[in-house]
Amino acid sequence: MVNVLIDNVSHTYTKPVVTIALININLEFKHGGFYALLGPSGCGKTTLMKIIAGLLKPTKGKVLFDGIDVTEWSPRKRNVAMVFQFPVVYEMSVYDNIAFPLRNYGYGEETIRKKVHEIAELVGIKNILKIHASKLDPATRQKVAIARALVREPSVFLFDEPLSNLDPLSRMELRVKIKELQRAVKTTMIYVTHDQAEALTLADYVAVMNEGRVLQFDTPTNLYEHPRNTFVGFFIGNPGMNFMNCELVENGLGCSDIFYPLSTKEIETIRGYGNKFILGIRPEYVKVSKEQGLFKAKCVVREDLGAAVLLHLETSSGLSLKAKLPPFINVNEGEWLYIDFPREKIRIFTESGNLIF
Amino acid sequence: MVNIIVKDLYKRFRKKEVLKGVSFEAQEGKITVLFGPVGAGKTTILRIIAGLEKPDKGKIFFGDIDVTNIPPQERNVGLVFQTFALYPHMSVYENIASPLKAMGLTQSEVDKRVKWVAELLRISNILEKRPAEISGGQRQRVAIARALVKDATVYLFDEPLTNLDYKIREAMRGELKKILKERGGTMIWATSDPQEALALGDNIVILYDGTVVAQGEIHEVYNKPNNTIVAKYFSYPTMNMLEGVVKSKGDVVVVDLGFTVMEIPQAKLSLEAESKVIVGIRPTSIGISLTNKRGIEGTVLITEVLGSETLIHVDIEGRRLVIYVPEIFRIQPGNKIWLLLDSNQIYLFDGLTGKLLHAPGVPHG
Repeated sequence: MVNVLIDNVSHTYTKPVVTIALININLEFKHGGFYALLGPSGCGKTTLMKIIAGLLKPTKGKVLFDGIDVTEWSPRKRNVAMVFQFPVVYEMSVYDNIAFPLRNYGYGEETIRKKVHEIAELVGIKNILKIHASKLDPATRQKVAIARALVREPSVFLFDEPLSNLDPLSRMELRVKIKELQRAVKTTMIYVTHDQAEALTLADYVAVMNEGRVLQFDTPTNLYEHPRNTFVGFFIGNPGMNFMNCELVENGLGCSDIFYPLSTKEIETIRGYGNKFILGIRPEYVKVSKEQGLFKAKCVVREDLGAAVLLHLETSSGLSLKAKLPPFINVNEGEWLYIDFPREKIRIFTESGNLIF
Repeated sequence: MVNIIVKDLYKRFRKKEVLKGVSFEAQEGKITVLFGPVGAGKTTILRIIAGLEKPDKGKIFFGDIDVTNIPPQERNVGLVFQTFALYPHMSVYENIASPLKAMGLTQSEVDKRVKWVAELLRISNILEKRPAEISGGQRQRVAIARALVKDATVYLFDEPLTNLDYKIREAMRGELKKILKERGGTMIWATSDPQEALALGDNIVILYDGTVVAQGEIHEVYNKPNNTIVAKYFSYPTMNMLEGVVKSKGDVVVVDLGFTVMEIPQAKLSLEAESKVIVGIRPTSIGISLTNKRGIEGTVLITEVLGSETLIHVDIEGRRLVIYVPEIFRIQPGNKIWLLLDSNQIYLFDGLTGKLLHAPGVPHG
């Protein structure tokens, strides 16, 4: 268990072409916490993880473990464990796979036996210790890789998209397993993913990244309810927030054919930011009714998703937005509906996408 | 445009029997989802339909024509794979045009079609770029455009969204149904993701271990999964399955789950007392109460926040139930929670064979 501090880290790749990967990253991962780095491909999350692991030296800035500068240290000296997208198992039994790092450290066979059984129990693979690892399905292999990483009692445990290559059901099962493991072992864990479900499920704090920067480092609830900018609003949520470009008019916001009234106080607050704004609302907060609402929109696509129905809506002037509703809702494609936005659920951003309130 | 008929396919690779008698029909003008977990045989079937693989036994018909022995280039199939290869030295335009040029169409006809399909997939602005200059999501759009540009007899999609980032997948899922419908034709779409299947499909064929375990209109199959395998794989979130014992027979079926006894009112079944059943409960049909202690007491094991939804895993006397809440919901592990099981929303499966015995009626909103 260590405290990991990323102190003003920047990184630029020079090969194959000059690419700026990270820009002034400052983050603190506290002892025993579970953290996620979340963002689309190319956002810099894997680069940052490699820098924490010691696989890559940043062009600028420092990495500190419990206050000690480890920027020049090897991964082994840092005592970090890593699990990758493609599970790495050795051509030997599951038992020998888990015992492998312990034998390297020179532990006696009796201690090894005890530790292997303890970890195998925790990870839920106790009944397959004698099986050859090459015979296992991808999800079970990943469990073996996790067990082998855990058995060394690392200071920091790093995961690089460990579930991306599994089918949806195994992915859901292993996601829960990893969460349970973290509760049991209390190692500082940092988890890299593009899948918000993994990040929000597993982590206490999530760093949302885009184009080499950390846009918000916050709890899942805050990322959802108070996204600091439109990118976070879009990236968190399934699907992300709806956004509408609008202008400040007499006593509210005008977004093409929609008028959204604001209080005098709200208008006072936003007036200082110019006269163009972005109104944001999450699809699950959009109210749909057959009788009344703020404006009308047509349902152009209805997506049934099992636990919910997603309606793609379009106003007569071509403004589009999505509404997420309970399953079995009685709405057909082509139907016109009344739409409303609950007052406390709207978010207003500046023209450049920064949250005002 | 014709129906594609897959008849009694068998295929063995070395020691592994991948297909064990697969039959289904993909109707013209419809999107048929070929659904199943990894290793169920989806890719093998698509490759056999395309002519890239020969079945050990069985036949493929395009309408009335037996194409089993016709080479792939004569079958006129549009194909999109999970890992998609574009020609790196060609522009996006040339990549999309390549199958048309091979067909010997005139330059103006090629141009018209490429522009039409580019418009459909919203990639008109990148036609001059090379594959290396565009994003992964855009590359997959180009691969789909290249398959859709020609008038194929059947379009086959082998998990084309699986390797994409979650956000791109989510955006494309909604759009694709519209695109595919506008293109028209017979389409077979393979996936292991129940949400993707529901969002895109008209009909579904569910494969498990080389055999078809269910097929039909997609919502009908979803609402009435004919056995526990279908219910487990083709549900989102995954259906809870609990073992129970029938306590009385007659008009009302009473099932003992150990921690509670449930009456299943509208089930018209003749079940022997003491027979074993599996009770299926969707995570969406369980209510929760935190304060007034109504219902069945459980202990929170873990919560999974999936963006705007939460799955709560609850332990009840050693059994695990998952509950879906359509919002962000934080509750610490170890806390008590009370569950309200709606007996009108219960599925019953035979405890030995796994066959569906009873499904709830579909409510109307």
